[in-house]
Amino acid sequence: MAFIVHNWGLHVGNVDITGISSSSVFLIGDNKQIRLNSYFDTPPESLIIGPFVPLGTNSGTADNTVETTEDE
Amino acid sequence: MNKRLVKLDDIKVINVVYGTTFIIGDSHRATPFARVIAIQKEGARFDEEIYSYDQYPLFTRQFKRLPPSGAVNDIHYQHNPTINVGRVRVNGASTSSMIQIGSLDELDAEARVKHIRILQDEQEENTGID
Repeated sequence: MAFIVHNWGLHVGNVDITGISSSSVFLIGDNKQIRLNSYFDTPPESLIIGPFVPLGTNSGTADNTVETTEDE
Repeated sequence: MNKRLVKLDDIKVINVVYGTTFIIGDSHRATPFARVIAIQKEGARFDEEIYSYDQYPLFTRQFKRLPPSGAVNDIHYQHNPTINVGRVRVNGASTSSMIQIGSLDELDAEARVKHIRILQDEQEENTGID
């Protein structure tokens, strides 16, 4: 396959950006390859429910675990 | 590929935080990464040392890999040697992101964000602290 690109003039006026967030890019220029990977986990299951919560300094025993549900 | 020059009149960036870079000029490769455990806890006390990345599979699971570059034969004809931009305003860039004025060959960015909320009501209901 032959992939041919003709870049004629490129003129941009004003750019106004509120936010560039997790693993994002704002690039003025040429590039070869961009890989943007992101994992973001905030499901309702992330609520920690139950007595096994790491609160306070006395929580360092082996029985204490943080209960979360991961989607696999 | 012949890289073009960038002509930018004016830029203003307010915030660059958490593993983010702001580059003026050309570069070859950038690999920013960020691992974040964001905990919202109701109440006055907070212990930060008890959370570790090992607890959550999110920080170890693999990303899907792209096939190696060079699979497509591409030819670029740059008829105009410059990219012209007037004014740029960026309020904020965060968590393994990137702002670049100039050319970049490879960018490989990675962000892993784990949100946890610890609510007081939930704790009391289950432990009978009331």
